[in-house]
This record gives sequence, C-alpha cells and structure tokens, in this order.
Amino acid sequence: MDWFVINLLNGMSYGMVLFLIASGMSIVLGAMGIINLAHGAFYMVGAFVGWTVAVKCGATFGLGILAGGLSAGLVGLAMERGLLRHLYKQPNEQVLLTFGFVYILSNVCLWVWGGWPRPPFTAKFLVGSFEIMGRSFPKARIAIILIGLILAVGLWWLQDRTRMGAIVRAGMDDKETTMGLGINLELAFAVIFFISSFIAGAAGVIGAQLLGVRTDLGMEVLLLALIVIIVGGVGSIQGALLGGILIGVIDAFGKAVFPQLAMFTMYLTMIVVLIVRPTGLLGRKI
Amino acid sequence: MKRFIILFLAIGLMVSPILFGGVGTAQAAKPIKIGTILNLTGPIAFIGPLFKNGIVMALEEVNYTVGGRKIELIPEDAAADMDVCLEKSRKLVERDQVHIIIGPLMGDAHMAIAPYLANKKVLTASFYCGDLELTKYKNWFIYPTTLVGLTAPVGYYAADLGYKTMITAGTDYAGGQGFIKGIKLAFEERGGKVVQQVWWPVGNKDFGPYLSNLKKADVIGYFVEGPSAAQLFLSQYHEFGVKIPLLGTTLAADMPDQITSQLGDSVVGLQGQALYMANMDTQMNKKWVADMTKRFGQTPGGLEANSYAITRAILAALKMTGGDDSFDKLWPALLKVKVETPQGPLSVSKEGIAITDGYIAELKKKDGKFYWDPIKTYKGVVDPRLKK
Amino acid sequence: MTAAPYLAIALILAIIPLFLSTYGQGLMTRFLIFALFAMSYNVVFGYAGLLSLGHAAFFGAGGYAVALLKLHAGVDLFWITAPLGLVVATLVAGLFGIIALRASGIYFLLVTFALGQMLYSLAWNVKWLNSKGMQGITGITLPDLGIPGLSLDTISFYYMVLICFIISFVLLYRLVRSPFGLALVGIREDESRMEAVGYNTWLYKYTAFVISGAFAGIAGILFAYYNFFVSPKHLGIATSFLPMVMAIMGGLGTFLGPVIGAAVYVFVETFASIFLPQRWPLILGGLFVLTIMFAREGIGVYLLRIWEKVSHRYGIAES
Repeated sequence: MDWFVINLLNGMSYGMVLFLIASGMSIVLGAMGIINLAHGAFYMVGAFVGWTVAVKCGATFGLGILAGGLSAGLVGLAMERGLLRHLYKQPNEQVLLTFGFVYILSNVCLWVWGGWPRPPFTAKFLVGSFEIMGRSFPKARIAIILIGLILAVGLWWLQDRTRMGAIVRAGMDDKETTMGLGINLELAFAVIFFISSFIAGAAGVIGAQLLGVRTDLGMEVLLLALIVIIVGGVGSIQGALLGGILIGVIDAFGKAVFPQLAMFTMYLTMIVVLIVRPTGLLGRKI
Repeated sequence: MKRFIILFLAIGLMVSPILFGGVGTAQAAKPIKIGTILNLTGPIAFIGPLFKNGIVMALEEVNYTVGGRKIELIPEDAAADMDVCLEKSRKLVERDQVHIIIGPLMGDAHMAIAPYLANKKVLTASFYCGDLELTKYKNWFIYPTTLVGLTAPVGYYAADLGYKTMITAGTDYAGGQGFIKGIKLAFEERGGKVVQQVWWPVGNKDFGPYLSNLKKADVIGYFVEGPSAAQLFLSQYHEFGVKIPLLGTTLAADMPDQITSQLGDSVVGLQGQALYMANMDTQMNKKWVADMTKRFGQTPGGLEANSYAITRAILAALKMTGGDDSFDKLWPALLKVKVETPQGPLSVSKEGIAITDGYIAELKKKDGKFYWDPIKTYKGVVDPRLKK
Repeated sequence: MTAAPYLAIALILAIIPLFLSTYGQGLMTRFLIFALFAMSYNVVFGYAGLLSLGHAAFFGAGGYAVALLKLHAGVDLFWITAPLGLVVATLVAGLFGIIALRASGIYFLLVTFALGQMLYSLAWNVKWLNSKGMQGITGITLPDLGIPGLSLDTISFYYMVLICFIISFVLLYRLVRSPFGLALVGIREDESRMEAVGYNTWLYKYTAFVISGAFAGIAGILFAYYNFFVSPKHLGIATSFLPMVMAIMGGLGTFLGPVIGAAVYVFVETFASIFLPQRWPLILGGLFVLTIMFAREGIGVYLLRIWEKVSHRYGIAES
C-alpha cells in the first residue's frame, strides 16, 4: 500500500508541474489560436531569473516565483505586443517566429548565465522530508502539489467565474460577435498572453525542484506541454489539469513497474487518447 | 524568366563562400593541424571551454611546435548533436586536412563518426572514455580507458569495503550501460552480487519513482550522465531519505567546482571514482595546477586534466615520428608512448586504449571550500573483459 | 513557363561542385537532400495547408530502412534499399495519414507530433533498431549501384543525389500544377466549398499526405547514405521542424520557396557555427524572426519582389 501511495504522490507532483507548464500554452492556444512554441523558453527564463533571485541573491522562494513569473510574463508580453500581434490568423508564421525565439532565448540565457546547469532549489523551509506510511517523501513535492492545486482553483475561477474568463471563452467560441459587443479583445489578448507567460515563468521556479535549471529546457518543456495538451485537450484549465496529472501518474507508475520503458508510457498514453478522442479528453472543438 | 535568374543569383551568392573556401585548401599543409570537436553550445556547453583549456595548455608548453613543425589547433562546436559532429568532422578532414582529431565527448557521436574517420585515416582521441567497440576501427586513442574500465575501480572498491550485494542505477543509453557494466563486472569479479539493476532514460529529471522502488542491498553503484542529472539525483536521494550508501562513477568526482559548491553540505562524505583531483600530491600535479590556475583563472578539474593528458600523449607520439602526422606513422608511435601526466603514469595498450591509474575519492569540506580527496589508488586500470 | 531557366540552374548545380573541395561537395549534397525534404513537406503544408509536425517520421523511416538493411543483412545495393525504403516510408505515411486526418487544425498538428515521437521512442528503445554501442545505426557506406567497376565517391554521390533531386523536382512540379494540385489549393483555401462542389476532400488530403511522405522518404534514404548513420533524432520533432522552417522561410506555397529556404538554412547554420561557435543559435533564431517580420512571405518571394522592382526600374523587358 505504501508503494502505491508514494508512487501516486510522485506522479501527482510531477503532474502538477506539467499542468502548470501546459495550462498557459493551452489557454493561449484555445483563446487566441496562437501556437506559442516559445512557451517552454518562457519557463526556462523564469527558472533562471527565479534562481538568481532565490539562490544567488538569497531572497525568499516566494519572491523567486514572483520574479520568475514576472520576467517571463514581460518577455511574453513584449513578444506578443511587438511581434505576434501582427500574426493573429497565421499559424505558419507564428510557428516560425516563436520557434526562432526558442533559439534566441536559449542562447541569451547561455550568454547571461553561462552553460553550467543550476541544481534544483526550493524554499528553505521546504527542505527535508515527511514520513508517510513509513517511507520518506520530500516536503517540497507536497508543496508542489498544494501550490498546483491552489493555482488550478485560481485559474479555474478566473476562467469560469470572472468577466475576463467569460470574455476569453466568448472570444474562443465566436470572435466577431465578441468584438461586435464592444469588448476590447486586443487588450484582453494582451492580458491573457501575459498571464500565460507569467504562469510559465512561475512554473519554472516551482518546477526547478524536479526539472532543474538548464539552457536546454526550452525544447524539452515544450515537448512536455504538447504531450499534456494532446492528452488533456486544448483550451481549458480542467483539460490541462487532467492531462498533467494523468501523464504524471502514468509516468511514475510506468517507471516503477517497467523502468526500461519510461518515456514510452507517456507517448503510448498520447497515442491511445488520440485514437480514442482526437481532441483530447476535455478539449474544446476548434 | 527573371524569376529564375534571381534564383540563380541567390544560389550563386550562397554557394560562393564555399567556392572560395574550397579553392584555398589545395596545397599541402605545412603546419600540423589538430582539430578538436567541443561542446560549445547545447546542454553541456560549459564543458567545451574546459576541455579546450587542457589542450591549449599542453600546446603552449611546447610553444605550438613539435618535430620542427608548427601546430595549428582548429576548434569546432559539436552542439552535443551527432549529426553536427559528423558535419564538423567532415569539415576538419576534407576542408582543413587534419589527421588528428581530439573529441568529441559523446559516446554516441564516437560510434557515428568512427567509420568515416577510420576510412579517412584520422587519429581520433575521445575526451572521456570510449566503448570497446571502437577498437575494431584501429584509429581510436581511448583515454583514460574504456567505459567499462573506468568504473571498474568502483566495483573493486565496493568489494574491498566488504559489501556483498549491490543495486546498480544508471542512465539507459550506450554510455551509461558501459559504465554500469564496469561496476558490475568488477564487483562480481571480487565475489559480489548485483541484486537489482535500475535504469532511467536519458534526460530523466524525476528520480523519485526509482528511488522509491529500491530493494535491499549493501550499496548502490550509480551513474548519471551529466552534472545536472547528478545534481538532481543527489538532491532527490537525500530528499527521499534513501539509506543505502552511494558509490558514484565518473561525473560524481569530476564535477567541476562550480557545481560541487552549489550542492551544499548534503554531499560531504560522498565517495566515488575519480581519475583526477586537483590536490593530488605529486610534484608534477602541483606545478600543473599552479600553471593552469594562473593561465585560466580557475582551479582545473578532471576535464582539463583529461584533454591535457591526451594532448601530451599525442605530442609525445609526434615527437617520436619527428613531426610526421600521417596516420601510418603516428598510430604505431602512439602505441609506444609512455608519459607522466598530472593524473599519473600513462601508457598505451596495443588496442589503443590508455592504461592509467584509477582513484577513489571522497568529497570533503575544509574552511568552507569543497574538495575531493584521493583515498585509494588502483594502478594500471584495464577493462576486465580484456584480461581474459 | 519555359524550361530554359530550370535547365540553366540544373547546369549550374551540375558544374559548381567540380570547383569545390569534397567538403563543399558534401555541403551541396546536404543542401539538395534537405531541399527535397522541404519540397516534399511543401506538398502537405504549403499546398494542402496541413500543418504537420511529424514529417520526420517518413524521412527517418526511409533512412532507417536503408540502415537496417545494412546492419542486419549487409545490403548495399541501391536498387534494393531504395525501393524498400520508399515502400516503408509510404506505408508509414499511409498509416499515419489515416490516424492524423481524423483531426484537423491544431489537433492535426498535435497528432502528427505524437506519431513522430512514437517512432522516435520506438527507435530509441528497441534493441533491434540500434547498432551495438549507440543509439541509432552506424556503419552505412555509400551505396552500390550494381554497375561493375563503378563505386561511388563524394562527387559521384553528389551527382546521384542531384539526379534524384531533379527527377523528384520534375515529378512534384507536375503534381502541383496538375488538377490534383489545384484542387489541393482549393481545399486549403476553403474546404467546405470544395466539398459542396463534390470533391472528396479527405481523399485529396490523404493522397497529398502520403505522396508527401513518400518523397520525404526518398530524402531520408539519400540522407542515410550521406550521413553514414541514422539516429532516433531523425524521426523526432527536432528534425520535423527543419522542413517546416525551411518551407516557411523560403516561401510557403511557392514551388521554389522550400529550396531557397533549405539553401539559406543549411548554409547559414554551417557558416554561423564555424565563425561564431558560441552564438550561432542566436543568429539562426534571429534569422527566423527577421524573415517573419520583414519578408513575411518568405525569403524567396522577397528576393523575387526585389528583382521585380529592380527590373522595373531599369526597364528590363517583361518576359
């Protein structure tokens, strides 16, 4: 029984990080129809900035998360306002542009922070482990699960219970009518993109415990985000959450039971979902 | 019509640099050209400059001259990508006419470029071990020894400490499999028993599932494929409260100081295989460390020591051939090389594998600084499979 | 549309390498292979309008077929490996097409990505698909053409690739200009209208997908011989991005766009890396961004516009 619980917790903590990574990208994809391949790069930027604030400067972990989120959010906003804004209905161009940013941001991080990877870090009071059913489990991972849940609730509330969320959902379903109602969709989009990138950056700091801080995170995190979105579906917080947790847990149990097939379980899940429900488990129809 | 003239112009424009580049290399090269394939971008980008430093130091010591000929070093970036390694190899061989290549680091890249380089008769030296398979091409200088040979001391040491059962844990790719095999073969040679073999995929970040599912054993012999993986593994090992002692391989004790100092006190007392430590107590090493620190501004580690030793060996071979860098003269000369390096004595087996000493080191802390202390030496380490 | 300009370019491509070092010839070979890869992608992406992120699956499938034949059966004969490789790539495309076309828009992208990654994962994990001591298959040598006394070297291999390229070029060109190709453009522009008029749009898209995959497979076969090894990476997203980037950069939906994009990419990547070994990704990424912002329809089209302006100003006769 304890084997089961520990692996479940492992899966959930990884799953929460996946959720955080994917949620921003999924929302932007669903609400604005924008494919942002640089989303993983935003995660990376947030991780580096958060590291600098929390580890190098010694500020609190919370401040690190904030700093990470803000830096990524600003980079994202700049990219959106400056460049992406002109490419709204052109997925091809978006793809090339955002892909170019992956290269650029990775190299800039390499330039600024140097090529050696930073060790995982977390808040000082979270170092150490709990005793769960006779086994040790790191406090920091429990914290990740909790933070993830809180953010999930917060984002869901934003999506379903606020005017902003309603605008987003309306814009997703019918852009012309929404604009016709006098709603400033441009502003809404800028805000959404900022929030999405902010979450990515914050996730970079929260997830540093599990994924570390490296200059090649850009592509890697992008891949993870895509997998979660495929499984969970585009455009909803619930989808990203379900997708993330599902992948995380399957991955954890997969590693425990079939260690040599580790990555494979993720891809297999992806394919099964695709065959059964091509739009993802909770996806909106695009 | 005009559409295609423009295209012709465009293509012509793009092709012209090669045109001019190509023409220039027609004459025979007077200086000895040594190419090196380094990781300057990509996930382990910080390693490239370190390897280069070692090479540069060795070349500077002889004033870039051997056998009356000047030496020209041509560095290229491998971007930790096998395709790029091959492309760069082609460039070095076909455009720059090198006969000697130092690098690359990645084992996969070795196997990918080996057939090509053997065909072109280029003396190639791996930065950090190589698979025994490479010896069949008969142009590889494998330093400090094969994958399996490198980690054999870990297995021997575990047995020497009295451990009877072991779990091996390593990264599941050719390099990792080789390193783990070394620990296993050596441990079993001394009567130990491996009760569980845990493998995780390359690039794995989350060791939780693996650490939570370990059986009972006296010791864990592990390998992780890079400093970042080492950081993650070691910190999660502590988080999950695993009680079984660790014996690490390669990257464990060769972690450049930037990383060791970032992991904090949790890693003090860690023991592992090392092929070099800055504080090794020989006259030669002390001088080398001083020279390197003065020249590059930081204490050197195993990576620089490796590339330095490799370059020294190649220089020694070139001296023997009187500066002749053609493969047919150079290879037999290399096999006869015997030099002293900061890492200890170096000689070469008939397959082209270096024979060096392996060390077990322990991570200690003194006056707020971390350092690796050698606690045991295994002389003349050889791949256990070759002993038969 | 006269054939003369094309012949001129073919002639140039045939002659230039004679003046280059073997390294330069290798680069030209690489350029041709990627140009073919990008052209194949253009069929499904530029003409049919389907953004696929898994095109490397077919490229790699062709390459792996060649590699496996060499590894497990020691087969060097081009007349065996090439057809087999083509068959494999086409079958994979046929299978993936059925799965992928169940989705559309964003999901199509995600599905093709997933399928490509599945192959990547398989190639990584299954022992039979790897050489001893590495991930991937090494030891591929230049093909045997079965002509006694003729063995290939760098320059002759280049000509072989050039011939394959030209044949593929002609075939694809005819395809794109045919009623089939025009129908594809129609589907890209407005699928429901095409359906209303009675076209079986699914069949057209599927055919485009499979043909596209087949040509990618050819590129993959040639690549295996050029590269001397294949690795799982050649099946995954890192390689799938390449034809996409090249096609967009060069000019989507134009026939020569991808070729130009391939040229730009291959040469910039090579030389940036040689001259700026630590900063070259920045250059490449910057190039992508600049292309989108200033030459939105692709560098090829942009160059064309410049040419048109120049010729107009200098009163060069319209052809």
